[in-house]
Amino acid sequence: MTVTSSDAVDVVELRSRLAEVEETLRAITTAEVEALVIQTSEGPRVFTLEDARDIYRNFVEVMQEGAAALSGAGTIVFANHRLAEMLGRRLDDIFGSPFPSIVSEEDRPYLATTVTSEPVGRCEVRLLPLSGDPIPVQLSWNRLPGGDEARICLVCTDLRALKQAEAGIIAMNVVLEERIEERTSALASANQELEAFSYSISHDLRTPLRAMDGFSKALLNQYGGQLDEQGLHYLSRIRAGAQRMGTMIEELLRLSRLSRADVGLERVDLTELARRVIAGLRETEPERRVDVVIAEGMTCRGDLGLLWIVLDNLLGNAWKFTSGTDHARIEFSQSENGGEAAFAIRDNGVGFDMAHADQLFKPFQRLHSGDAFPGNGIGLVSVQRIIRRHGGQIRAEAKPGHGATFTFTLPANRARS
Amino acid sequence: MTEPLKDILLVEDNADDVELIELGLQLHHLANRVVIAHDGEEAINAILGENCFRLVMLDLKLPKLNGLGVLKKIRANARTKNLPVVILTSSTQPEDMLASYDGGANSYVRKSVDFNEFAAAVAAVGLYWTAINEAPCSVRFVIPARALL
Repeated sequence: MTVTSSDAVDVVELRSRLAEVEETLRAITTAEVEALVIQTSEGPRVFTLEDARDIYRNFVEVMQEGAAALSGAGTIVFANHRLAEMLGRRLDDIFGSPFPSIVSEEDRPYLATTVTSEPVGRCEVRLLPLSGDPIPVQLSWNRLPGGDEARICLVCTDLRALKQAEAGIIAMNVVLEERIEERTSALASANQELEAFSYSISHDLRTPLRAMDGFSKALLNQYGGQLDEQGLHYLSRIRAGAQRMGTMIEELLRLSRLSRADVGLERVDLTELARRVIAGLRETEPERRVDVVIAEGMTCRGDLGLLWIVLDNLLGNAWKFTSGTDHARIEFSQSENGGEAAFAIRDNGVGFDMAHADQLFKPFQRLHSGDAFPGNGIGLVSVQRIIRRHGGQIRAEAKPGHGATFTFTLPANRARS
Repeated sequence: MTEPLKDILLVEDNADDVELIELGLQLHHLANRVVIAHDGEEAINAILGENCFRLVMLDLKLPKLNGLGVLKKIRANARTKNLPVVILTSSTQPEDMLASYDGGANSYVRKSVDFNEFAAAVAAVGLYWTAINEAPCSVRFVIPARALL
């Protein structure tokens, strides 16, 4: 039977076309149709079932996956070229083979029970080529509707490239792990050396200093009468030098302890902490008049003991460097800096030249003479170390004669909100 | 003022420190006789020998056997387990102090050219001996010297 469509349009014509289409549909569903003729701009075209099969056949032949159809008993009744290529066998050699013969022996028992019994499935198996290594593939199968001969269709996706990439990643991971292990052990041995170093500093380095100081003291006590004023002065200088160095060693040890200390993460009320530090400073110098403004409600998450050292140093510095200032003023405030809490301690003291700012956070570097402003040159180094151990940053801004501002961030604060 | 202690064992490898500590003991009239051991093994031999020490002044960093090792042996021996031991060290590290007290030290004194702290620790040991009425070497109980400071 042949159906013709036309461009001519009127109601009668439309009714007749509708009837025709209904008839066509009926013919298609009852498999009475052998071919369809469709009017196109290039004239009528004939579509047959054979044409459709060609399209599918081409599609199956050119696809990148291996494909096969099996009989109900698991015999290969069709295979595409890609599958033959993967197996390194001729197509006619594959036709008629039992499907299990093309997969590796370990995979056969599993496939024998699943492929022929489960209607659909997907698994990873290894194809067995005539020569060379088994090929890992992803196998998926479906039961075919109808079909007398072919009951099951299979698609095999080659996983070699994927496996190779996976192996590459695993190998890279192994190298990475090794590298991490190397670095960790290097770090551990560096730490051990550091521990040994500070142990040695702690136990050995002070001994000669004590000899200098101790014997000078004995000399002073037992033979002081035989020395003139100049001689006594020299002796006191020897003692002072030895003592100063003892203090420096002590400060260095304290600094190294800071680097090793565990950083606790508790809620710390910085406002309250600052008030206490200032109260302590006022107690030591009750005669000084200093305006101190501490913002309310400043909190963070961190180590109370370590943050106390931070505020003690920064507020202590502000206190010290405003000692010669009329109307001395210290402010401690908080601002948001790109989602990070930034805290600033500002004073109107002597300040410093920003040209020397890089010296600020180095051990034993001082921007002012010890006579004018006593100090050990270790305070800001400790502060910076503590802030960094909390994951924050600290910076300073100043101008000679116009005070200084130290701003530090504590990123851990965000974890709270 | 307590009586000078009869016999003190000073375990110290550094000659300067030996001389300074002896000077300190002498200045504060703390000892009648001071025996010096220059390393940990010498110290153990002296303690477990014929001597009857009233106090061991023990450095932590020592050749052969360190101070904590010496302390352990003193505390493990029935005859000397209650012998007063004052650790005398350069170290200010908290872990050294904790390890010393954990090991059974009676006192922990930092070496200093100012002998006051050191003198107080030794004097406390003197008080202790007076308190137990000059008992022989094997003492039944001990008053931690730091409790008296």
